[in-house]
Amino acid sequence: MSLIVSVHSFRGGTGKSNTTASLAVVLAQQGKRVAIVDTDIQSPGLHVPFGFGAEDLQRSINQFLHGECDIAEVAVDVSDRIGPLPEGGALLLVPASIKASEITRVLREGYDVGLLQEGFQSLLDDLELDVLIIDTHPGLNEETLLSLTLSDVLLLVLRPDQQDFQGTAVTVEIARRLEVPNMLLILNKLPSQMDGEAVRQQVESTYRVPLGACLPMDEGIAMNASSRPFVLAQPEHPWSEQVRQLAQRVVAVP
Amino acid sequence: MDSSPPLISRDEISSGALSRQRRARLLVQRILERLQSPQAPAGAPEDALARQLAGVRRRAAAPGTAIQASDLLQGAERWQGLLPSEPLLREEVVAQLQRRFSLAAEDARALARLTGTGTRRWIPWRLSFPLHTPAAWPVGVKLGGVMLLFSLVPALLVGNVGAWLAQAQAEQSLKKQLQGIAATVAGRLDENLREYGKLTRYLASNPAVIRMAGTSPGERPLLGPEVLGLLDRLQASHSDAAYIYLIDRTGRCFASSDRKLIGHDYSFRTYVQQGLRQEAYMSGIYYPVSTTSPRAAVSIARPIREGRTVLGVAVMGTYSLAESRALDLKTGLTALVLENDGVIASSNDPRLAMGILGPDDGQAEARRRRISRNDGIDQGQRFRRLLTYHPLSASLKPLLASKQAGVGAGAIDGQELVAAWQPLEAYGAKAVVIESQQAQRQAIQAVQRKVMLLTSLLGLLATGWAVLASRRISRPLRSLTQAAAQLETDQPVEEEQLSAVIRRKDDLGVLGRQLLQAARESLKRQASLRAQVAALHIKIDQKQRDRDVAVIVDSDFFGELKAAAAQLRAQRQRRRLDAAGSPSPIDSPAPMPQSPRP
Repeated sequence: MSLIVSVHSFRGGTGKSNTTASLAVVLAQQGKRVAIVDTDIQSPGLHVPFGFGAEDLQRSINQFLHGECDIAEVAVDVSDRIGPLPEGGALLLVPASIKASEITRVLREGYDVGLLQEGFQSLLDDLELDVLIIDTHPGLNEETLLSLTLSDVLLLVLRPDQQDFQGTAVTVEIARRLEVPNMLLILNKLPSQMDGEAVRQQVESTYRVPLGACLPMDEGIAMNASSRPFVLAQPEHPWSEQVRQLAQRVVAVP
Repeated sequence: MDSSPPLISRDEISSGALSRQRRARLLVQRILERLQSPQAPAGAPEDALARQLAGVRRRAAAPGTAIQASDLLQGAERWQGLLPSEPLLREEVVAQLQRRFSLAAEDARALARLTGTGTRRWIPWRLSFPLHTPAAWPVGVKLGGVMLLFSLVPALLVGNVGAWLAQAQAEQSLKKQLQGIAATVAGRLDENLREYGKLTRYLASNPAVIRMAGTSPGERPLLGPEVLGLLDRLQASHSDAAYIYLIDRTGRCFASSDRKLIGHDYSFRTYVQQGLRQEAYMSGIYYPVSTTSPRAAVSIARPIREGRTVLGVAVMGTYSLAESRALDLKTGLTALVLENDGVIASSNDPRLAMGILGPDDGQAEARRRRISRNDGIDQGQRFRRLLTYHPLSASLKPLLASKQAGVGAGAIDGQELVAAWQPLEAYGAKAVVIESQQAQRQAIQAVQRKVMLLTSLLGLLATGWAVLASRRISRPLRSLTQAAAQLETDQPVEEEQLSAVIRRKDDLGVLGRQLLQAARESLKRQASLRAQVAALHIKIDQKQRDRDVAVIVDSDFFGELKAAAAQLRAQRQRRRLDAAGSPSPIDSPAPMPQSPRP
């Protein structure tokens, strides 16, 4: 059964893309065929942990949205960049363009959001995916709302920050109105002094949404500087362990 | 499961500087990653499928645990490049690898060889500081070194000066000792002479002797047996007595222990003439002509008187110089009686007896011929004896010339020795005691050995004191350093850790108490901070949220999306069912909202 997982945050800088990349790696390592789609067209970043630069990307989701290619043609197999995978395991990346001209074109001309829905479905079908992970644009714009609507699982990333708390409350309410079937919160950059369990209880009682992961703040992650998925850089790190647990919860949804 | 601690603990997350242990842990993690990495070293052919299967196997197990010690050792070329050049960090990495893989002794040795950490240790214990950087040595070590320097050097200095002083003292002491022995010998010889003086006086005052001396020669035979018996008894009881005889006022011998002398006229003898003049007499050392072997003798004479009338002279001769036990000394000591002209009248060393001590100046033979002694009488003919000459070094000239007691070092017959002498005024001679310098040196060396032993003990005590004193300071410093490190990493500092330090009354004690106080306050601050952070409330402005939600929900796009959402999900559900093998009617795509505004 294929899953569409949206990873979203109300504000930027929450570590959403890093979390997405690591989650995808863990799922691929568990033998899933996984694709990750960078729908943050205005400020793409999902390609970075996999070592792609501006010149390395032949196609992007931007071209698909402008009707210039099929979305499956955009997908790049990055399995060989994350080490040996078990049989059946694969990781594909559908990047957004990082060329300034293409970003401004999207901003200028807009695109048909309906294409996204078709694209997601094509990816699931054509690439025979087990899991499609959508890395969304922060905030609540129309393509984000669409991603939320299409999601089997919505992962909302937030930091222990008042603005994030407020924005997440809005997003949770919207997701409820859209009847997203599964929601998990990811509390990232948790200071070490905080009692994780107390925070979990408070978050879950405030939003009435389960906390999928509580990721510690760590200078090691900052030093990694998105140079590679952190679960590969430091697989034994508590952060990586939390992401593995999150992956188990994601694939276990009804 | 892998029971090793996480790479960086939560407590360490916010910490700034990484300790050596943590840096090593990071490196060990990198090494493990390299071992897990499918990338073989350049050029090594490796089957891709096997590599993939190996990866699956590794990931099936807990991370890190699938790697065996053999992988670590055989795959060394993959990770050796990661080893740091800093020796202590390198050793820490190897130590952590050993612990992580619980390496057997043989594997541990192999790892040490691979990493070059096992051969560098040239001292049997592990130093926790770099030996080649004195500036980085712990204060305790530096302090111990300085204290050792300031205690051991004076101890050695005192020991050496002490040994030197002891040597000088021993030399003086031995010389004094030798002088004392010479005085003792002289005293014994004088005592002998006094004894014979008393005997002679006793004899001269004996009533039988007086009667016999006062009797006419014709009547003397009546008294003869009594007096002769007395003389014989005296002779028998004094083995060193040479002769005893009595002279009447005419100078003839009327009684003698040697009967052959009776009737002989000795009026020409000085002692007879002196005795008859009522004067006591004592000869110098001489060698009696009547004997067949040269023995030094001394004669003593006393007048025999009745009232103020001199009736005769009592005469005693003694060989006490040659035969008494006065010269019997302990082994290694030579005693001799030296006449003022250098003739050795007697000695406990037969090589020296009847020799001459004289300067080593080329006149020895002439002197030897000039100074001779009676060598006895044989068949009525006297012989003169030419004595053996024993040359004396110049430094011992006072031995011959001085009339006072003295001591000096020099040589006799080329043998180095120390000599002490004491005048024997009654004999006109000196009592001399000689000890070889070798014996003296041995005695001095024995003293020096004692002093050196004492010095060594002093040095050991100084070293022990330096070690103890430096430990008294270095141990508290170590505790303080450890506590400070804990404080730095926000770990609690227990009072027990610093109990020995905070009891001290010196500045280290003050430092310890302040550090403990600082640690407690830091802990309180942390707890307070933690409480503040933990107490962070998630405050949601519900009205604002509702307003924001309303803006979105009220938009046309949201309305259309919500209307399409149910259809979209139904389509996905059907696709899933299709994928699961259940046929479903073909759907028309759900109508989607168009053209998002950037």
